[in-house]
Amino acid sequence: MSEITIGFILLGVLFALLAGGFWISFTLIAVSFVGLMLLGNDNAGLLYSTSTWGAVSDWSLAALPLFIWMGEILFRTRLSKDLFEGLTPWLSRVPGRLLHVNILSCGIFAAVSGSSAATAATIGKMTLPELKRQGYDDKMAIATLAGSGTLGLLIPPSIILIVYGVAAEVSIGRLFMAGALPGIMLVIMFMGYTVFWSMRQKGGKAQPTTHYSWAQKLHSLTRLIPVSALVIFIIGSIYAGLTTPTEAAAFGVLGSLVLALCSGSLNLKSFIDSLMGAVKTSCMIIFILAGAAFLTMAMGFIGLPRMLAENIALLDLSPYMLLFLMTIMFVILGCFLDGISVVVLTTSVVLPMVIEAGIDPLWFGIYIVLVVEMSQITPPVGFNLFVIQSLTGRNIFFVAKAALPFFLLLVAAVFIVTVFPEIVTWLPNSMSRG
Amino acid sequence: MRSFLDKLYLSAGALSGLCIVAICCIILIRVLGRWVGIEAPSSDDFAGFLLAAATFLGLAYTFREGGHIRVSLFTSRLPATLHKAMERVILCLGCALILYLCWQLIYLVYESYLFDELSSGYIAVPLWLVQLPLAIGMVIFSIAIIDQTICHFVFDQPLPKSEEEALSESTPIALDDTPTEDCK
Repeated sequence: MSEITIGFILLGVLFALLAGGFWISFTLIAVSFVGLMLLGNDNAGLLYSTSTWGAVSDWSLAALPLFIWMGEILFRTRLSKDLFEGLTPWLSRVPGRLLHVNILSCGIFAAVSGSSAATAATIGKMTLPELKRQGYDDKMAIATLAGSGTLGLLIPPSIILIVYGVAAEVSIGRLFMAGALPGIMLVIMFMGYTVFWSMRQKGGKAQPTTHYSWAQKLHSLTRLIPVSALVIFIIGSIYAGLTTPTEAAAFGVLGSLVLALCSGSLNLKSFIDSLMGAVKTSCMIIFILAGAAFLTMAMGFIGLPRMLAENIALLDLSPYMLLFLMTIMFVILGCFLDGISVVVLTTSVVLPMVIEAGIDPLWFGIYIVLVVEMSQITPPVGFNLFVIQSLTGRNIFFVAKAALPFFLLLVAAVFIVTVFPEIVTWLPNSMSRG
Repeated sequence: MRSFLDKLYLSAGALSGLCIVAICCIILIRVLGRWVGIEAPSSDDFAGFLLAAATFLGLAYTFREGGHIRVSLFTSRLPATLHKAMERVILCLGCALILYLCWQLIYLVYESYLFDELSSGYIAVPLWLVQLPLAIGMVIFSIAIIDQTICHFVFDQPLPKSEEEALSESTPIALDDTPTEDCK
């Protein structure tokens, strides 16, 4: 059987199983088995057990459960409230005031908790009623929430970057560095748009202004310092080369436990809850990664990635055209698959082709995370939109329309990092030289 | 029987949690040791073994809690009877697949035992010993899936909902009232 026929059969099996609601991890394994069987390979079982053992006993992967646990601990503290009340005085003079609080607290909260849906829900529960009470535009309140919930995927310590790093064999530390500038750029773009929007709204309803004295501002800092110190310590020690990402994650757990203890939200129950929450999420992700390792191996035996790479080379596409086509494919995939599944499917099948086309795998990691962020709020099917729809009880089309400007900002961000790849590669390159 | 199985899944999950705590401690000791100039031998190997154990021992618990993700976008829009039939189809497929995978992992451990394989790190440990949690975890996971399949066919017990599904079906917060509730 030719590679092309096998490829199409596997694609059919993949989509049939996914659409039928089969578990993602099992789908990856089943597709690999079908592929190996069509090839007539009778060692499939042995290949499965050895690739699984190799994938799950990799110590650099230990960063994953630890960062997830850290997020679960912080999630159970007063972090969301601290962020909201700590940031408010500082942003009271920027046009758009509380909307910026929405953006920044979502960004920080998502970075440490690692889930954009949970972030949108947690922050939204607190900020939406407050924004409503102060007479802000509903649409903009929802839009900032939907848009900035996705920020955490890029800002280190990001779970999805660890998954990409392990699956694509790219250094996680370098990926964390690469994600920093594009992440900051996105925050600036989101805030810039909000400033622009509220300047234009000037003629509209006047919003109540509260003036905060310096004493109040300084006091609010005390609520921001602990979590900022933790995040800066983690990121800083990785950037400075003092610790590996896994070691930084262990310190992150320790630090968040101390924070939780100091804020009085740590007791036996919340400790066990956070640990079991971490078990649940990391089991799910690592089992998917193990499935992806088997899929990568099966694909290698079948020769699909090599064939794809050769055919793309024959087509003589420019890298830009290739990226454009892939972006469309990812956005479609991202509409019904979660980010982690999109990333592992990509690294198993299309990464060799991408490297063949001369694209830097480090840059590609950041690119793919941006595209995944985009697909989270693709109107009208992105996953974040559904969460916010149920949170606010608004029509999905209202939510989608509100989030559209932020979707377009993300499209612009993908465009910018494609034209100026230095935004991604400058920091990791200059850091590792120094 | 029911309570025994539930305890089995929960205790395997708890063991998995303990493995994560152990990973955290090992890594902290490793860094502290490096700072004072003591090398913790093979600490990265042990972190890897514990990670493998944590992953596989937690599989059944994760399954019971609806943690293993799947695409429910299409199936949840089907009529109720068709939806139920679809869940049964994937459960049967899942049973067949998990039994085969389980067998393969048990065989992996058996072979490591048969050939006396040792891990390649500084401290060499028998490989079968550190691979054993994989096989045990997979056996418990198989039991959990078969258990769910039987309950689905006999008692119409639906598949557990994921956190996200629960989140997107939760009741909306009342935006029109002045909020009085705290965030947490």
